Amino acid sequence: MISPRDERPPVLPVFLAFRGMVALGTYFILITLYGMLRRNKLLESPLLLKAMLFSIPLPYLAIQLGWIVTELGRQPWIVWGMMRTSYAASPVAASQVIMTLIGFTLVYSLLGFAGYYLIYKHAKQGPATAQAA
Amino acid sequence: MDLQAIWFFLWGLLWAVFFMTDGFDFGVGTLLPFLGKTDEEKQTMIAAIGPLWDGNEVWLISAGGVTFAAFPLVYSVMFSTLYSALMLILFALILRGVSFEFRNKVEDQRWKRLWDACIFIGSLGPALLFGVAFANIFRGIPIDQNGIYQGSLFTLLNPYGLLGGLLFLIAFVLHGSLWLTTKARGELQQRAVSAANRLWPALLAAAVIFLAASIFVTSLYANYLNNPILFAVILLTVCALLGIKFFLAKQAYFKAWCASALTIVGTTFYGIIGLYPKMLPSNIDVAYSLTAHSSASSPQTLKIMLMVVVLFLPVVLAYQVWAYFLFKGEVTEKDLVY
Repeated sequence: MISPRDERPPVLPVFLAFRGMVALGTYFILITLYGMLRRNKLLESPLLLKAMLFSIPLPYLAIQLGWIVTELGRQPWIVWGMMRTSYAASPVAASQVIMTLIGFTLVYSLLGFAGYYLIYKHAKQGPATAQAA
Repeated sequence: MDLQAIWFFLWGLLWAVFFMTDGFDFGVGTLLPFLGKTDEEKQTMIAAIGPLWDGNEVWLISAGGVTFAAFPLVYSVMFSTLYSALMLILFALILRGVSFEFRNKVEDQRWKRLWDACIFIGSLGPALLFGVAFANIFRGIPIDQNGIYQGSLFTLLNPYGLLGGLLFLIAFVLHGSLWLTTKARGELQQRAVSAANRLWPALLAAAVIFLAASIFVTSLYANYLNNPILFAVILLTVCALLGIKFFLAKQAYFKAWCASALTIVGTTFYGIIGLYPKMLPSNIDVAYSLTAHSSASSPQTLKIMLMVVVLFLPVVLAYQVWAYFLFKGEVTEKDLVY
């Protein structure tokens, strides 16, 4: 079924986000399988360990891409086929929405930095002291 | 009593229980920079609310959930009308929640100071803003016939709204200091006792001014004048307020805390009873007000949900009481692991 032109979501970002998400998911499966094969020789595989380390942010990226697919992909509907997003918007002034968007960005940036600082600190300590603590 | 009325008072009860429980941990958080002189005292204060504060906030979610399910129109108008205030509360609660978790993860003065500041602001802010929000609901909010708010965040900061904020803040800080008197020992306990003794006259003054101001600013007393028996609720609340001082003087700290809890529940119901059946009164035209009857879900929805509540509320109450029972008594050194 082809929707009328004014009921289509912006196709390009949904197209890219979906493929990005699937590519990442495939990568996670492959690197996990490879890691399982090499599980007794992990210390001799510096490249695999490096790849694992730098893959830590990727699941977060995959989650965000997934949200872009679902939320952007169902536009212009908020309830598909029943209610348009523009009819569902609250009667709140745009200036207030901008302020809370800035607020969310600041609060989550602070928490993001703090969280990564803690992960970094604990990772630096290494497994021996982590076990002692 | 019809279904809508049952849900209206259930809605009020959830807010009252939320204020009664989360109130003391807002209070302890606000007192953190004033009563906690050393790092160990600060850790004791956090450990005194550590296992309980998140359970207490479940009542906020229930209150919001009940508003959404039973009175969807009130939910949508309330969240749009009080948008900025509720978003500020949300930011405050997010920062406060993680601060309890982050604070003791790094032994560094600046790190701890940052999260202590977040606990302070994240406790003081919501205590004040919930008071401002509810006082404005008692007073009436400029909503038009379509339920659209004709004001801004600053409309809410009128003298009566600010008085309500101050009343809630003092009540919660007193409630928190009384909680500490039952949980702390030594110097910290003594400081909590003297804080409670100094806060009590302030709460009495704020309560008297609020009760008097409500005569002129709100129409809360109409229901009371129609059914004078309802004045018993106000009388009981005033007795509880006096009871705080009575038990404090006798050094019966847990009883003083219970009296404070009753004061907060009574104060909430004072407003809820006065509002009935209005949930968001309009001060543009009283006909634009949202009432329990005009904004309720279908009777079918209300009936099904009432069964859900009857089944699950006892379960929730049981595990909450269990948690309180498990963590009763003074905070000892082995509790400082939070």
